[in-house]
Amino acid sequence: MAFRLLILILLGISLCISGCFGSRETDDIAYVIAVGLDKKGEGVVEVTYQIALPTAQGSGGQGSGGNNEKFILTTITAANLAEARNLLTSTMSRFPSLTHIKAFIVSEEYARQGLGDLIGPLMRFREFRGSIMLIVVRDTAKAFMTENNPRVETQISKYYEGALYTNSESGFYLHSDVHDFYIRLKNPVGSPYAVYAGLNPKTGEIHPAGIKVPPEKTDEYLPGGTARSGEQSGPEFMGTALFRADKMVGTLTNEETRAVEILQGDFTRSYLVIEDPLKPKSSINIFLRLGQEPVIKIRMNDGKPVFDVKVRFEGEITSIPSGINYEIEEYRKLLEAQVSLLMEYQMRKMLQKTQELKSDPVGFIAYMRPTFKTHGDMIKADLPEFYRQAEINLDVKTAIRRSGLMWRSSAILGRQE
Amino acid sequence: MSYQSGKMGISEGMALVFMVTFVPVFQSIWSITIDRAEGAAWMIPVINGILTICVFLLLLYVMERVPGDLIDVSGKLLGRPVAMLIGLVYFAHFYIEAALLLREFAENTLLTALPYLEFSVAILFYSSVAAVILYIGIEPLARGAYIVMPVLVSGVLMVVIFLYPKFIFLQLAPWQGPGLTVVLINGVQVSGFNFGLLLLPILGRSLHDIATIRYAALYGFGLSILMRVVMLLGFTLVFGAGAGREKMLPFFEMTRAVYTSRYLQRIESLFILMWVIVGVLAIALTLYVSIYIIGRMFDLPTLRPLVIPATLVAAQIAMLPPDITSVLLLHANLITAWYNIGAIIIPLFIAAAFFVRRKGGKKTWPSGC
Repeated sequence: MAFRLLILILLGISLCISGCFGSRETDDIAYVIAVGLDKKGEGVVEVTYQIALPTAQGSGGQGSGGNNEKFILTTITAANLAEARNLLTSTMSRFPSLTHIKAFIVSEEYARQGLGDLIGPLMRFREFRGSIMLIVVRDTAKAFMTENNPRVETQISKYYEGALYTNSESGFYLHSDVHDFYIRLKNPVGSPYAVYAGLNPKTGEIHPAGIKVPPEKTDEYLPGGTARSGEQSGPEFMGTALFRADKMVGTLTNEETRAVEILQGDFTRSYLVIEDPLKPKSSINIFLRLGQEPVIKIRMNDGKPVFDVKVRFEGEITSIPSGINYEIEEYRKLLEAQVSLLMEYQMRKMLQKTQELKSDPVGFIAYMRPTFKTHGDMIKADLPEFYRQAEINLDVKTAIRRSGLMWRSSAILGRQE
Repeated sequence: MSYQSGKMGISEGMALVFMVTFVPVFQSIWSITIDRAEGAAWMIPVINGILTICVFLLLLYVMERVPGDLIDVSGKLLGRPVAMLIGLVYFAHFYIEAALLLREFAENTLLTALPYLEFSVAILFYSSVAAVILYIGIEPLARGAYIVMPVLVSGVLMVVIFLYPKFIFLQLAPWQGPGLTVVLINGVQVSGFNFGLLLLPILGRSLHDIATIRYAALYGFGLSILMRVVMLLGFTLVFGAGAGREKMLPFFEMTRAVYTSRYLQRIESLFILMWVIVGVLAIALTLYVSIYIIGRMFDLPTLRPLVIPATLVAAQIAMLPPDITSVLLLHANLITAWYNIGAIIIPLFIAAAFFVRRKGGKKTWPSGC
């Protein structure tokens, strides 16, 4: 009898806790994929929600084109995110769910006033996750999201997730999510940063962000600067938004961003176009990657930190238009030195800029942590100032390991020099 | 329901100790640990673990020479009134812990999985399931815990491994945290966290012998300390002391932070299930030990009539604190103060009584109370 009673109780409990009472069907929910934030005066924010259209997601998004295929945008002006969400509920028949947000897009104007008030609530609310991509845009977030209609992707959520990972192909923007940003806000492990993005006018005109210094052969860019035209939509991720505490204080170009990634040890691979050491008008393409994790050592000199950084690259020649035989050792050494020279120059440029801004995206200040006796001593120290004063010595070396599918170059017959 | 079977071996004992001393880390307690010890938080379980196991082994030394379970030994060495008092102290430890676990697991279920659930329904669910388990008895409970234990350990290890890409090893520096003295003091202060280890000598009659208790303690408690260190290290490496001290549910945050690819993310829902299972087992276990102590103290022939009233009262106590912050602070205060009485002071007191009486000439003690 007792056993039967027990079975009955267990059955009753399992029915009660099956979780179906609070459940919502998928077609009762509107999935917000991205949230854009623009400042609209003191204490007022303009929140743009990018909401996935379920029919388009289900059918693979095929159709005649246009925003309405994959998502809709709703912009609400409110005191903060919570109020905007309440108001959003009044605009639709579905329950808005923020659990699948992939990106927070913040205007530069907002970021320069400080993101502390935004990030704090994000980490507290269960629907937001640390893996949400954090993007700062040069224009307004609303304009960026309106223009952003990636035709290659069938799902807008996939676009953001993919964008977060394609940075490994060039190093031109960093992997930046809410978790990383928050950890850097609260711990002395480096300054926070975010992906820097913007709209390209697609006029085909080039707007470089700096001048080329030999042996550079390529320009550096900020978002919107590349010479681009065609059917791909306007947004592009290019560079880094730098922060000191929660306020944006500057930007890095695509090349400087790659230098950050290299020193962080996260650089995967990139093509490097470099001046031919023996024929400066010509260029050589190198497929570059890190030979080993950068080694950063710290020593204190008269109360000033000195960082000795060892960076080792490995490269593969992918093109030698000049036809000079850089595969053989005597020429290869020249090319290796040229690559090292270029990379060292770009890293120094980035370090100089970030030291002036007292914003440490690489995380040099983390290496200072063991030099303090206690946590309290570390918190009291002005670490950004230490970073500004730091002497950073770079030791960069490159080894060309491979030469693609050709082991030697030969001249084109009959070509006029 | 017999509660003096003596049928449980090392595996069961090990699982019981592991459940009681490890499961509370699924709650908020390590945020407080990190707040106190910062980057050196991982040293805290090592320090209090070593201290507790040393005191425990000393108690076992006494129990090898004075036959019986903890209440018997206390009675023989200190007299029946003191033994009753010691029994009451341990009853209070386990009973309050059961109520606090009940409250925290219920609150955290609302916070993570079922935000629209009525709080009282969550308490009712946890307490009802715990009561059903109590009816089945300690042996199935221990064996159930033994089955769950490897899943729990591998689950926790998996989360830590998946979080490896987010590790920042320099988060542990400065290596001394707030200073070695502060870490040492804090480590000793939170020894009360390990009072659950004492359930082995309390349930002595349900276990084979002293050797069973010793090995169960070494394996179960050792594993618990190791896993706590692994979890604290993983948590500190991912969140650092600055962000870590803010977290309400550190382990839940760890599972939420897992993002290895678009195919392996959002795994926390799997861990909520595991978390609820071990939570229910830990609540049932602490409740069982508390009513077992009452049964032992008053020589009751069975515990079953106590199950429902004890569970109902525990549920009522669980609902007393007005908010979750009060619960956390109360739990932290108990661990750093009150629970130390059970974990450290009483075993030392019993050992001191043994050595004093042995010095006084008494060499043998009869079996039974």
